[in-house]
Amino acid sequence: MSIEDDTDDRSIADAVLISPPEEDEKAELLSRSFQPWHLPRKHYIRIHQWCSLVQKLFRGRKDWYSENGAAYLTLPGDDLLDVRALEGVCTRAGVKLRYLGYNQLSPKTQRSFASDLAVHELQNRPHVDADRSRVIHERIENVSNVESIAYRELQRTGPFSIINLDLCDSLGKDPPSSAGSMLAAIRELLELQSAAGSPWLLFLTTRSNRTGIDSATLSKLIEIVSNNLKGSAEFREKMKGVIIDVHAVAEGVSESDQTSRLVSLGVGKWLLSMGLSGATKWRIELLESYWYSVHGGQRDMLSLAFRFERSRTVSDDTGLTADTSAQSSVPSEAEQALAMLDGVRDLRDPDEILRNDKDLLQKTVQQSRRILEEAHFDVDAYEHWLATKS
Amino acid sequence: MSSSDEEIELLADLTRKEPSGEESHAELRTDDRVLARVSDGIYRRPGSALRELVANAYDADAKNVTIDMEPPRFSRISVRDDGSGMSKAQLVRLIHHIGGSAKRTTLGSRLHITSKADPNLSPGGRLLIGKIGIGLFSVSQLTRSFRIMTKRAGEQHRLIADIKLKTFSDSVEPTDEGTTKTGEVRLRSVKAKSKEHGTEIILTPLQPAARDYLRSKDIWARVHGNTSDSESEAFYPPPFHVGRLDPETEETITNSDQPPWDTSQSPLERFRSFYASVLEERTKRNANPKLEAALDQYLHTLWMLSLSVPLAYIDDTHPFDIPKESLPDAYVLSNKRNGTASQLKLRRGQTLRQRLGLESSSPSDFKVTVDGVELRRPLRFSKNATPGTRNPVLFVGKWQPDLSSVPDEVIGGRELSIEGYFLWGSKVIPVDHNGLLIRIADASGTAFDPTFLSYQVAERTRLGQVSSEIFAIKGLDAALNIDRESFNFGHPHAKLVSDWVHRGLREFATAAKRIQKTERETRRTDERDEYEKLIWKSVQRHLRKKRVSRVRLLPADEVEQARRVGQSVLRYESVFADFTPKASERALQAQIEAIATLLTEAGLLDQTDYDKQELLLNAILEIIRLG
Repeated sequence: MSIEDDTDDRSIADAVLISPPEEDEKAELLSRSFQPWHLPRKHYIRIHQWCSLVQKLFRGRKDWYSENGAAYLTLPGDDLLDVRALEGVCTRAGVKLRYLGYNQLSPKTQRSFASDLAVHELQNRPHVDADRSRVIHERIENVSNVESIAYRELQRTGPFSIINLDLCDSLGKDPPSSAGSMLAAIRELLELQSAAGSPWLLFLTTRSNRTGIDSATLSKLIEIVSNNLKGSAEFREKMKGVIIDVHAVAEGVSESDQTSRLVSLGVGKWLLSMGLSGATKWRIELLESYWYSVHGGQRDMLSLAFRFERSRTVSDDTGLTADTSAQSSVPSEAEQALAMLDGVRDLRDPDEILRNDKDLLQKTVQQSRRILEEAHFDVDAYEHWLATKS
Repeated sequence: MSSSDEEIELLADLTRKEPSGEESHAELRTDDRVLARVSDGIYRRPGSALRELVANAYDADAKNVTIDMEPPRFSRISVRDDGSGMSKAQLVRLIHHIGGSAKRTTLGSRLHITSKADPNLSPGGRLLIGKIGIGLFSVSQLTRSFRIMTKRAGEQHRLIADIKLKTFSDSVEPTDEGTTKTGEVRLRSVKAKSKEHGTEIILTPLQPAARDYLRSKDIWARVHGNTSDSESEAFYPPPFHVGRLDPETEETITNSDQPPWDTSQSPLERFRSFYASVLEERTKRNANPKLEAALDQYLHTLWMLSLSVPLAYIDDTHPFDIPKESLPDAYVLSNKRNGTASQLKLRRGQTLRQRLGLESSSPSDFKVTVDGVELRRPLRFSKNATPGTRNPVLFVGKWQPDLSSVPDEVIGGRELSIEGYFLWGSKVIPVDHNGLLIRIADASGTAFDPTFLSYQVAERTRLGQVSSEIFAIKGLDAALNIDRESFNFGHPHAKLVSDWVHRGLREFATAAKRIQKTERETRRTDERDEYEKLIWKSVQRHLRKKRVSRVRLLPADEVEQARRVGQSVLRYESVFADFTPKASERALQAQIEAIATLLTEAGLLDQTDYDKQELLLNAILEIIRLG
């Protein structure tokens, strides 16, 4: 195969000559408008979910992290706000952070200066491992293709202590078994993480509105959940307080809240099924998680946090060594799924939390302002923008 | 040269907008239209621009330079350093003189780019590389748009600039001031931590030609263009490469990389592994490894970059600092018109630097890392050759001519001081290292010149075994052409250096001939000794005796004496009557002595007097010789 088969002069010229960059006279160097993820509620999650859980993770193996540092996989966007926030945690914990960010530049943002500047600034921070941290301009979905650059980078940097998949849309937007879907990427990540230290964290932010998810995918998620419903009375009982009618969700006639809960549970169980499929068995807990409404109305955005803990893989039936398998095995699928229901039931809404606590809201706004200022946003404009949002 | 109104205005604008972060806009200008025309696209290879960027970092007293090229995609290049960074004034100056350098003038000192005391040095005391240069035009072959982020220590703000270079067009008219517009820039300040400092330049998107070169597009096209036509030659990928990007998707890799290192190795180990791999290509494929045959274009670029910038040598030590015990045999050049190189006797542990008062050195505090590989100068000075080849010999020279009496208009700068070496081995590996490399301020834009500055004597074999570096301590920089990749041989300094090199080569050639002759003789002596040992062992075996009383052939006047003390001797002249063995027949004497010994031991010569024995042996000798 040869792309030079096309002997059209114009295409030859195009391939060889400079293509002038898009002249966008109006765009500023760090031109960015405020986005939904700049709202205080998102920063609340950054601090009280991500940072807080990472802090706990570090405390759990203090010496190990001090010595080895922490590997962090992320979708940092143009501002690397999550990395900035985590860098603070790392500084306080004395842990060196090495991050790998996937940020594909769209043709329009091809010249995004903000990301370059953010990376440059972070390189200078003492607790960022500058030589081993980078943002690559690849799609994270490509990691399911083992011949891709995206996969190769992953292999070279991983495994990770923290994975943060902060998606704008739904992770289930593609039909099942699609090549290059986010679900396929997550599966590949889990494969890579079999070599990860234990425990490790997975943060998953995903839209959960009905229209954002592929129907067949949603059906599959429902099917996964239904299996537990069929198998366990305890599960059925507990489920009543969480999702009233699974089939209503399937038919799209239930409230969005219900869809969101079902997606949370479905994703959790999907992870569980993969986590228990290999030689290494994982215990997967759904930690304090959040949900909120993107456009007002029903809550259709999930911010889930999972903690993965590995079982022992080697057991000895010979009797030469004392049998410790009972202590180190992971709970069964049924038990873990049951536990996950608690997490699904206890989803909290940061908008509601902040509405009910004026002091906390003010504090969060200040913190949000500070991190945006660090990222060179115009904070006066931010205040104005916030005012229009309330 | 005073600042123009435009510069003053822009500087004021930047200062005013510092607190708010508002943007400033400016046009890039160059004073010299000819310069702009000439330098636009002057560099063919990406390595040249990288070299210039690294040189800038060196001149800014950086300790670390990190280059990211994102192989095998190569759609952007970032060069980051921890040097002193630029102030607003410096950046403004740079923009308004994009084609020229403010470094080596008093103006440069005012902008703190040079040391206050000496305009040839950086504030940190490094000899500046970039006296003349085409400045930022050097990147124009790589890209038409790039970003700069720079900060000086102690300042509260970082400067960021986005620069677009115009494609040079003859239709662009100079302005009234005589400057030509060469692009546009947008700049602003952002708040930053006071003690941070350094500069990062990001080139993106890369020009298709540069990007395709780094992707080794031509090489892969040949490899994958193999048709089923059995007549056409099959092309194989080079033994070492960083993989091939699928040209259609640009997201996957079609040929998995085969780098000459392992990703588990540290950056420095990777480079050492790189070096060893290229050398080893010799034994696997052909006699003389060539970079082009062993490496893809990206790796070739890395190698050439490691030769061009000021770096520590691969074994950490500058050749002038190698102690006697590890140094090859060394000779010093006389600098005379028809002089002779004389062998150097070094004391135990002594270095060439100590012995000869040499000045040139490589930095120990400048590190360049490219895509996780720490570059070093890939030159080694082992005293031991590979088995079966001649031991290397080093010819060293230092020349600081007294030019005080040379007329001003002829000399072009009174100070000229150079040092250098010629390393003569049996092979130069890789072949690309055969020739002469000239360094100014420890940097070089030329590759090794195998003609040794057009040395006119036909000694290709011997010259093909020489690798040489010349270090210009003072002078010679004025003879560099604008691209810093070639010399103007009309310049007096270039002529003087050229002449010195040729004088040195003549002395080298003479000494080399002598050395080779001695070696041949030694070899012959060694061979003869070996052969003799075999002969006497054989005699011992046949006589079944450990100790054998050898019959010797001695000159006639020594024979009486020897017989008096009981030795069995015969006259050499009688046995070898009028016959002088050729060099290759040195073992003949041992053979005859052995035969005589055997005959004596067998009792066959008891009744024969000495004269008859000698005649007999003479006859035997003739028979052997005829055989």
